[in-house]
Amino acid sequence: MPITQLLSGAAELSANELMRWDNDYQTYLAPLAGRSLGITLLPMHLTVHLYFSDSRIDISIPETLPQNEIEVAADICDCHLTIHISALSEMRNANQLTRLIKEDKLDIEGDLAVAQNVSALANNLDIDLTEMLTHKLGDVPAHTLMGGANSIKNYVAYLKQHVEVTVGEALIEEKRLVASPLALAHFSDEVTDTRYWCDRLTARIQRLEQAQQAQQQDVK
Amino acid sequence: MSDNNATSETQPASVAGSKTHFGFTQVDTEQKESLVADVFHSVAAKYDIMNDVMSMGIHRIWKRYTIDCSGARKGQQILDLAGGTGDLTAKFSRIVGPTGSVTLSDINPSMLEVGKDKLRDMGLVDNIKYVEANAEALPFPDNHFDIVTMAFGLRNVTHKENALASIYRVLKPGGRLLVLEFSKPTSSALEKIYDTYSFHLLPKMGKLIADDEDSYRYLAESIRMHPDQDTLEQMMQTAGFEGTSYTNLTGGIVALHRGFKY
Ligand SMILES: C[S@@+](CC[C@H](N)C(=O)[O-])C[C@H]1O[C@@H](n2cnc3c(N)ncnc32)[C@H](O)[C@@H]1O
Repeated sequence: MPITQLLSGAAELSANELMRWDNDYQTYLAPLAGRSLGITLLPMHLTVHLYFSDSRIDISIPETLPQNEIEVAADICDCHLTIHISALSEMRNANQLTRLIKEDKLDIEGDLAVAQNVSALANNLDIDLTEMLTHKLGDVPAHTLMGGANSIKNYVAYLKQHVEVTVGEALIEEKRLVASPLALAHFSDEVTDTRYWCDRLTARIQRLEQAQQAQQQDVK
Repeated sequence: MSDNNATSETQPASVAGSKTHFGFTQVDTEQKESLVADVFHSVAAKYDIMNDVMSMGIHRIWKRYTIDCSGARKGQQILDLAGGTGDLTAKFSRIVGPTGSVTLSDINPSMLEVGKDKLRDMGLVDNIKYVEANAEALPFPDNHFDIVTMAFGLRNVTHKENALASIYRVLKPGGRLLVLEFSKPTSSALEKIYDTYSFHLLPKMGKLIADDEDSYRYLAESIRMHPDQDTLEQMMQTAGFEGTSYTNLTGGIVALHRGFKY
């Protein structure tokens, strides 16, 4: 059984199921109806095509032919994004896009409005997970599950905060040990003075040595 | 498998009094079309549910793979031949969008009617045409379609070589044909399990769910009589297709054949 198609089928089912839990999903889909977005993930070169209609998303993972036909042409979709996997998490922040393009982590071909509308769809969807699970599993399991998920979320948040505080304190302690700019300047002046006195002393010693050599020659 | 089916694959057209297979039964060549029609009239209403039950939903994955290999894009003209209840048509319709068009064609009006209802219920109306036609003599102009797909249809056609020639004619140069069809399992162990399933379990499931044991016995027999992977590829080449290849799916229980018209 082709595993890729099993996965894309599961992804398509979940995406459409999830989306329907926001009553306004069709409003967000409307500007995308009839449009398509291609995404190629680097470095795996995995390409996914998303086709939008007024009530659903179809997901396709195009297959290349055995004889290596250039099948996954970027122009199949209205807009095609090529993204490095490390940049995925930064994609939500529109301010980062220019930087990602400059760093060759993102390439956009075609109609940018499609990518913007997909981003708006992802950001606008407001899905009440508790309500969804209640409908699927019943009241008690849904609340237990959400309670568990919230505890994990809170614990992760606590851990994150704890790590931040520890790192912050360590930095402050470290800072106390580090010399201030004024002390550094003073130290640098003292080094300069010491070098000056050393140079003078060396010159005097040289002169004394020369005088001593001259005296010895006179005695001979 | 390929040695079982010499009767119709080698006959270019009906010759009066000639015989062909209908499952394991030998019938008059002219009779096969109406016998196949009876099968699909009979199963049409329960066709989708039986498909899911019989294949445990795997037919959806095979069809998805076909779509993923089609290279379909916005604005194209696609023919879903022997398209029945329109599973492929539904997906293609959303891919080609309002500027493209999908023709759902089938010889059987009952299957087409079920397909039409289903697609309308899914809100797909604008870019789909319904055409009742025999794959052996397609009523479309030459060089008309970018892609032709035929899923689980070819084995029911009396003269497969006529159907392939007809498809070749209606494809545009550069267009491609995708034939998704039951084929020959690649391992003998799998073949044994599969035979037991199709000849013993399948007709019983047909009786239980669709109250139609005979149609599902025909289904199993027709799968056995269908040309194996290499024979079908050869037939496509004979019809003029180039760059032909096939991919075995689920251990060769099903194969997807591809060919281009250049
Ligand atoms: C098993 S169904 C497949 C339906 C659909 N393609 C699918 O995959 O679900 C086979 C279809 O082939 C159609 N068929 C049989 N002989 C045909 C012919 N000569 N020309 C066109 N369609 C034919 C039948 O009417 C039936 O709808």
